[in-house]
Amino acid sequence: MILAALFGIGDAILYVPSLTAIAAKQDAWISALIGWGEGFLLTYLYVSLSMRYPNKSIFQYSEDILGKWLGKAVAVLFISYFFIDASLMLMEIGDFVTTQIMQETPIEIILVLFMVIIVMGVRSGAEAFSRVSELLFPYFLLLFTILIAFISPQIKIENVKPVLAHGIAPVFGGNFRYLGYLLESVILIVMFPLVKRPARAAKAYILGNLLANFFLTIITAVAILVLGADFTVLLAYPSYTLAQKISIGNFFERIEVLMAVIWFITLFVKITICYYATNLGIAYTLGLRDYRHLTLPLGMIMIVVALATMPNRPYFDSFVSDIWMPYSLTYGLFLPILLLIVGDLKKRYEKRSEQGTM
Amino acid sequence: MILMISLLIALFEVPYLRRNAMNKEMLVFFILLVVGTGLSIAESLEANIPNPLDWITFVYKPFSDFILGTVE
Repeated sequence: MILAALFGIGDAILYVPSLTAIAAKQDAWISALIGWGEGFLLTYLYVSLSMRYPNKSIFQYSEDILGKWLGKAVAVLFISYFFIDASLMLMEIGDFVTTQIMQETPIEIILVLFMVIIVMGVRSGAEAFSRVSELLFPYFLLLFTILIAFISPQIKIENVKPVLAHGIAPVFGGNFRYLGYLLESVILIVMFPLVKRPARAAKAYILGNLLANFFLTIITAVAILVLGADFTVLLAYPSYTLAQKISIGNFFERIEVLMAVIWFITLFVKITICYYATNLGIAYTLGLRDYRHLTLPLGMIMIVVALATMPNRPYFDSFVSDIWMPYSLTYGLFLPILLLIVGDLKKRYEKRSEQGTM
Repeated sequence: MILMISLLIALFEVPYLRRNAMNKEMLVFFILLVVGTGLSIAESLEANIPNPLDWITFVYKPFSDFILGTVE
């Protein structure tokens, strides 16, 4: 559950406030609120898909359902999605560190350092990094609470007024961009067969997703309340600016790097899972016995892909706000539904043909 | 520098793979390593590496315009 929650928060905590505010302006918090329902429905879809094929990963049952070659094609598509997502997030952390904290350090150094940690995490296995995420969660909770508590004196209710000034349509515009992040939780489907008790895992999956939504809604609402809608849109990292604005009695201030630990924790968990899923997927699809040997060379490729994907900041922003959501929709919604329906039809067909012969 | 890193990676993994006679794994490992090394050298020489996001943008642009057009 904690893994799912930290995963869901992931890089979204840095970007969601400004992304939803692009379209929804001061109503961005409503966009995030709608996300609760969507998140629940989506995780329900993923859970029902994985519960049908317990102890099998998505790469295996896509072959069972769609046949060998079509199934492999779907698996390759999924792997490419995981890989792109992982390298994008790697780039996000590099960009965040070089633009906000250490401006003189070349970005490659930060990418390589972070990649080494991720490779270490992936090589030690799924159980190890699930436990690590459980260890890190209290720190995340503590830091998040400090952030919200100390910024709350600066909340101005006028910033959210007028509510629904432009009707409901822009709210959905913001919500669609938010949905792009929710759909990424499809990656957790890979972790599902590794859990011993599927019923409990299903509950944890859904609860974790709701928890992630809870944190994201709070951060979006607070960003709008403190910074105002127009300012939130302009900022690259609104939640970081939020932390910079903390000032209690002109004494307790400049604690933003401490707050940056929040995103290091969540991003580490998310990238590790994405990268793990990529490696596992490649190993399954090619019929390898162990995924661990792929981690190091693939890490080299990932660093270069990460550098290539973000030539400049505006390019990346327009990609995330316009293209990412439809792209995720293919993997987060259409493919799982396709697998579910085709799998269902196949089962029914097999049952009928069995009855026919009897 | 990059070659040294790839050499280190190879030295790190190859003995284990050979001991367990994982030939298929070895092949995949070396393909990935060569691609990774090649890309890294290309990057360090500031060659133009194709951006995968451009392809994705090309495929999804009409779809995105349609969806966002419904709400804006």
